[in-house]
Amino acid sequence: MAKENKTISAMVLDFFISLKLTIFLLIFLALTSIIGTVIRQNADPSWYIHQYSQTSFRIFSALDFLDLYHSWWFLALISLLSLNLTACSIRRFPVTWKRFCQKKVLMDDGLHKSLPNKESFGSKISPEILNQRYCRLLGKVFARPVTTHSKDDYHLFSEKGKYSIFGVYVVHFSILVILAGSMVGNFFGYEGYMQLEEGQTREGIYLKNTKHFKKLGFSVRCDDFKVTYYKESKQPKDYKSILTIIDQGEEVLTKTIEVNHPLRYRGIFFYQSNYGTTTRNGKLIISVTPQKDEKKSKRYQVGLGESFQIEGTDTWVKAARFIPDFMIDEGKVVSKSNKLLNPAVELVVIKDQVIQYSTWAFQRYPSFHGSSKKEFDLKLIDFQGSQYTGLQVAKDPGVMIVWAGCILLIVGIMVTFFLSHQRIWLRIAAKDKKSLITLAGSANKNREDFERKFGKLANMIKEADK
Amino acid sequence: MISSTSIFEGIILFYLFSTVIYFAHLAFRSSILHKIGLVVLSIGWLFHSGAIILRWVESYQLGIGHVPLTNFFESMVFFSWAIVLIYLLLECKYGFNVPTIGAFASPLAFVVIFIAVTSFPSEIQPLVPALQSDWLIYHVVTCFLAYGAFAVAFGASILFLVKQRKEKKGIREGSIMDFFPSSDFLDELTYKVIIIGFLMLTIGIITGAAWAYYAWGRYWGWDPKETWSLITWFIYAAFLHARFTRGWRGKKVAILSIIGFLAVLFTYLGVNLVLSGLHSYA
Repeated sequence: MAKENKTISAMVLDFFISLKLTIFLLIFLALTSIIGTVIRQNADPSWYIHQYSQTSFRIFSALDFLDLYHSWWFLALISLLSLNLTACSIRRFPVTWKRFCQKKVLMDDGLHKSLPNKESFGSKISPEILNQRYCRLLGKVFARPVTTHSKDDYHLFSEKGKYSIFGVYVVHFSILVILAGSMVGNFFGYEGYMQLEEGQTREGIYLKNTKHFKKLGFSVRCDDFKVTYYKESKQPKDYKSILTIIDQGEEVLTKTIEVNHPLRYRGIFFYQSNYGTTTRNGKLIISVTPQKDEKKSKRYQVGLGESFQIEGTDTWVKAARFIPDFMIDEGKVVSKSNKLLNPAVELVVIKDQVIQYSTWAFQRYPSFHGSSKKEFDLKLIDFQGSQYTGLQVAKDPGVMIVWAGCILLIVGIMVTFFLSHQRIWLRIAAKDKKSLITLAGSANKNREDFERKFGKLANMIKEADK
Repeated sequence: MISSTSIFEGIILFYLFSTVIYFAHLAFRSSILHKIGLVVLSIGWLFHSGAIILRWVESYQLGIGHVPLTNFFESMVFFSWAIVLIYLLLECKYGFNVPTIGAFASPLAFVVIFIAVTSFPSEIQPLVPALQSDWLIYHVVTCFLAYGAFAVAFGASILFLVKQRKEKKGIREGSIMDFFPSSDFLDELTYKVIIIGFLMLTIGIITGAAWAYYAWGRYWGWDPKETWSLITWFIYAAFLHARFTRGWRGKKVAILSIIGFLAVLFTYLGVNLVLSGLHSYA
């Protein structure tokens, strides 16, 4: 019974340690990751029901497809991969360590037989002199050799890239470091959003996932916001906010931020994310031109939701609704964005407290008016609202760990794949005052490259006896 | 002065000629044709390099000033350039003895630059603020060197599958198959190119993460482009591990390399054309 248990546990262990599991997990992770790029993640339930169906929505949410990369099973797959690579590394390590510690400086016949690259030839020069020459040569073109003198023979051994055999462990360890760093960020970091009008100060953000308000412990003021455009185009070249940090009543820091250039204070980053215009407290400039007498055109300033009286008449105009980026979607008036791209105002004309009609006036299209046959021609000349800047706010204490892991990963991959442990043995045997030289070598990786290198080295060794 | 766009059009002809010469080389098995093909391809590639630099200069003359790696046209031009670069490096490494890879790389480079020039607008466009970063150049260059390497590996894997099948059936001496490199060599070559691609892809993903951190406030957000680059990374990681597994060597590994390149193509093109996300520029 005990024996059977052992075999089962051994089988389970073997499964966790197997390279087959690694390959399976990598391919399975690749396949399941695709799902999350095809099905939109973290959208509103109504969106899925509209896009797919009630049943599909239920199936998707049961399988955690709607927030796949944070689902328990996806995290379980990643954990299993980490476990697998740890187990494989631990199992392989003793072999590597043994190779690292082992120093076979003498080449006996058994070792000679096992080596893939070898060469031997005779020389008339005495072993002592050759030994000196070869020591110098190997030190110059390969690596400084260790010389052992036994009986009449000289044994030279030199090796290169010994530490490269640990590269694969560095790679596996770096993956664990990156995952650990991302976990630190998950547990102790947060992401949120802050919207500031020019001149406004706020002391907290709305968290990304929960939409809860979170105080930062200090406040942020937007002193100014500017957008510059590429010559003669509507495309923004850059947008900048000047932010001031106020900590315990004191202005401690002022910095201009733009996309790709965030501000950092107490480990919290403020990123320029977007911008727009708030319609709140906005002022409109409306021109009124009587149809009968176009010279009598006059401009009025009016707040949103307020009315003004057209001079010399008993007619009032109310600025009922303002849309920064006008468009009609399924018969309804909506704003396409929060930017002043197609400003429009709904104006209501009132006479004797009775609504006569309402009409839309467009700043960008002044000639478009639904009120052509009406008494007055109403135009939207300008809208002055306050601009706001949208800031992405994030704190991630794990990010330095992630970067450290990334650097280890790159270094590890380079060492693992592009360096190899190369060893060269050279034996000078004395034979009737002459020498018999045997050269052999091996590399644990990139064997063809080593073969070429070995060939060149063998030629140099042969040359050196002249 | 001649514009970079017209040079790119000329390069199409160079790559077309080199492709024809490489195919002729395969048909007639004359080593002189290989050398001519190599020279034509190399000259084309030098012009290609010059035109990329010229386009960079032109963007400064327009007052926009940015590295020419910012839209589909520019990235495909660079992709084509990277494919030829990887092939030329292989030729140098293997003592100018891998013409069959050239017979694959040359038409691939031709097709990519042909599509770039004929299907995408070649105007130099101003940069949106998110792209104005030094990370752009590191990120895009490493990613496309990876794509170029994977493209060459894809070619070698297809040759491997063809050759291995014929080897099993027995190859008639002097037939075109006899002329192909041995399947062992192709297997080794695929591996060599993929480790270069894998290193570059790793650096590309990491520089992308660093950039995302400075631009958007997070280094990883499971955006479709990011996810697909990781999918590609998983596939090539599986490839590298599979090579150490006895039952996987050879055919299965070659198939993984082909699937890997399909994932590369989807990461590069599919994500932008089929899916939506933050990487809407290219």
